[in-house]
Amino acid sequence: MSLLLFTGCSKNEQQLFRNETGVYFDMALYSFSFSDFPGQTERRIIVPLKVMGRLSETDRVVRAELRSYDGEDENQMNTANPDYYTILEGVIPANSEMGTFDIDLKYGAELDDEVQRFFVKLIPSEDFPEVEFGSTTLRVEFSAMEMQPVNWTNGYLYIFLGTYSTAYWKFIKQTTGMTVIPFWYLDQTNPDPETYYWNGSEQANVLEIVTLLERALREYNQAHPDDPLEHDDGTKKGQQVVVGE
Amino acid sequence: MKLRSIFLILPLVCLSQACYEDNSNTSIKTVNPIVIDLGGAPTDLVAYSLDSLKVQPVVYKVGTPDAELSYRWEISTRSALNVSQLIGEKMELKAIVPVQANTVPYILTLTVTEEATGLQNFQQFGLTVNSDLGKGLLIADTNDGATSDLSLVMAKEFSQVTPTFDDRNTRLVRDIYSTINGAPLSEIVKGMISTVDARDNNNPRTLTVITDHHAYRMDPYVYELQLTDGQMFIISSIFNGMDEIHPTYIGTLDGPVYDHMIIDGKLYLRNAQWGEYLYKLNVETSDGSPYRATMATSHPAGRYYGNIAVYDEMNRRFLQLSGVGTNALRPMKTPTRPGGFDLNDLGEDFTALYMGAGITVQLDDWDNPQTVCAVMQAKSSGKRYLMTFFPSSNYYQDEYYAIKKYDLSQTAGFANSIAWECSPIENVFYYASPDKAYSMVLTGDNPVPTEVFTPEDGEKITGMMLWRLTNQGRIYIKNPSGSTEERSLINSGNRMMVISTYNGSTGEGRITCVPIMYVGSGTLETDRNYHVVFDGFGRIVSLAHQPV
Repeated sequence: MSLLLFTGCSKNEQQLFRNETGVYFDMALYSFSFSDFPGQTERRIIVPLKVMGRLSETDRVVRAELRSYDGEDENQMNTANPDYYTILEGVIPANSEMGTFDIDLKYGAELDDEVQRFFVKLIPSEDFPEVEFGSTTLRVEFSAMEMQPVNWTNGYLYIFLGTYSTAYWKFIKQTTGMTVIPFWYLDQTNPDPETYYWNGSEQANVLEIVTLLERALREYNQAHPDDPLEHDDGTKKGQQVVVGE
Repeated sequence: MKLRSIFLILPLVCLSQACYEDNSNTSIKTVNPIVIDLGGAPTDLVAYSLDSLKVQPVVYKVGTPDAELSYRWEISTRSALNVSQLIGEKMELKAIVPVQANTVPYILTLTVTEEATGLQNFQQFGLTVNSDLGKGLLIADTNDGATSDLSLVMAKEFSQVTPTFDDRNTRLVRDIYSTINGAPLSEIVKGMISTVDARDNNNPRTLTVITDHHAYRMDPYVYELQLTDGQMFIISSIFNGMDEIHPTYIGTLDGPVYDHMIIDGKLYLRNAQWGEYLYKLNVETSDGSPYRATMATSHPAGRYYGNIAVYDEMNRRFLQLSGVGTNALRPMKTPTRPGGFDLNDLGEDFTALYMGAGITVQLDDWDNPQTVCAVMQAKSSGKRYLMTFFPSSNYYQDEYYAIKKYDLSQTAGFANSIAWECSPIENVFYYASPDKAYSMVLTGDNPVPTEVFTPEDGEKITGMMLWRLTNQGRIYIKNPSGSTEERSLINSGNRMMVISTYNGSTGEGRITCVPIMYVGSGTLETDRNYHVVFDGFGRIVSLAHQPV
């Protein structure tokens, strides 16, 4: 009976989650317009990357390629002229969970009348041997016609400006005299601080633009009483433009 | 038997225990303190950046040789006390000030440690690091009538009160703008303000200057041009499409800190207290109707806030922007008591020549707004009037009382007056023509002017400004006869009139500081021994406080 006294417990080793570190594009769609960058016929777009898993003490290279598609769905096809884009590579800097991926875009005359599209898929690299788990495919759409700027949703501009439409964006560019509203709300997701140099703490600048737009819109509608400014496409097509909605 | 032995032994055991005397509370060794003796020297220090700083306390601990004490002198900022810079390790501090000039004093801490025991003592000092170009009187002058430059006078009349400004530090620094920027300003300066929100280290100090067609901004410690015109606005393209801009007024409101400007009839402001470095889109009227502002003045309206009163030339009325509530220009609601004139309809077209904050009205225990004085010239007749009004104490109710409209068209010297001032501490109005300065006590319907200042032969008055900073500047006044001391040193605030004069034949401009005596009577000291003069300028076109 005394022997029973000598039984005990032993420590249960916790099973740690083990997997290869993954990397993924931190957005689903990058839309770009050459009309926002007048005078430029080539432009590098910078796509944010996110790491799932471990950080590294050295820079890590990320690779991607054009996703091939044989199916019937038109929306999944690569329609872009291969001369107009170059898929480069990405890097996750040391000790960072965020990185950037570079893609070069080139202007061609067809872009004046159409939107071209291609899909980019991550492939294994020496630093990221495993990319299937949690990976995303990036859709890139570009044109020389008005496109929704990449920071409208990803940079949280929509909170201040409201719903996008081509007519509304043209009005914004005309009123402000700017072709890029250089605001990106969250520093940690901003892939291009050189182009988007107003961060979350500089909201005052965007609020000023909101005031400017509200006043300009009021003036426009007063000058066009039978024809107030309306969204011409997008989710609010046909509705009157209201800044912030 | 055994039990009995236990009973016998047990008490013996108990009794054999004893107490011993507890001397622990008399066995105290007194620790001598580390003494830091400043010998009566102040703990508020002033130095210039990169200048030498010397502090000589006497530090000792009875029973410990000096060599066993160690010293650390460290500088830190008030907002980051844990980040410090070591600048000395001896009892006496002899160091070069390694930090930049700042309006907010640094903290200098002396830590003395007895190495053997770890015992420490501390002494903190406030260290104000002045700029070579700091608090004083800002002057804009011209030598050719077309361009202008900026100068600064640092003297006890204009500079810091604590610690006492040493007369040996008096400096007239001339032509600072052209020296730093390579050329003077291309037009004549019309107005200047230098502001900083000293509560917030992050809100940079700015000196803003306006001329006929431009606005300029620079750091008042450096004077290097930073921003021009539209660049001072969040929307820098704000003036695109205009060939030129026409600033007419520049000012600042103290509560909150609204720096504001009037350009082409519109009022622009930035809330310096919130760290707004650039100006915002123009203020609109509360009902959206158009206005054309030409002149303004800020004035306290309640205990903790002020308003900006604005003249709207388009609608012949005064508007107000409240320091609390929404940023819109609102009409002045006149309360039921009839006033001397209608603030919302002056009845004819006027040009506003001057607006300033005058006598404080004690409304109740809580509020003490200041009266607004406006010098207005009727466009059709050319007659000049003084109009006075003040805000009621009702927080949001926009009420203003119109006090009086004085017809001064016949009053000596008023028709060709070029400078005007009122005072927060006396119901007196001052004005100057090129030949004389006058004062008028504002009681009754027909105030009578008194001549209070005449320039020297060959000189004309070009400007006049009441020194309004109550914590900056000191001037000597003559004591009443029979006093033990011939003179006293008082704070310049509201007691010193700064008058600029110009000698056309020599081309020299001067500043004369004149004490205001017998507050309430509009008396300027006539004894020229008490006039403090600074000369060697061109024709002085603008004066401003430099409080930063």
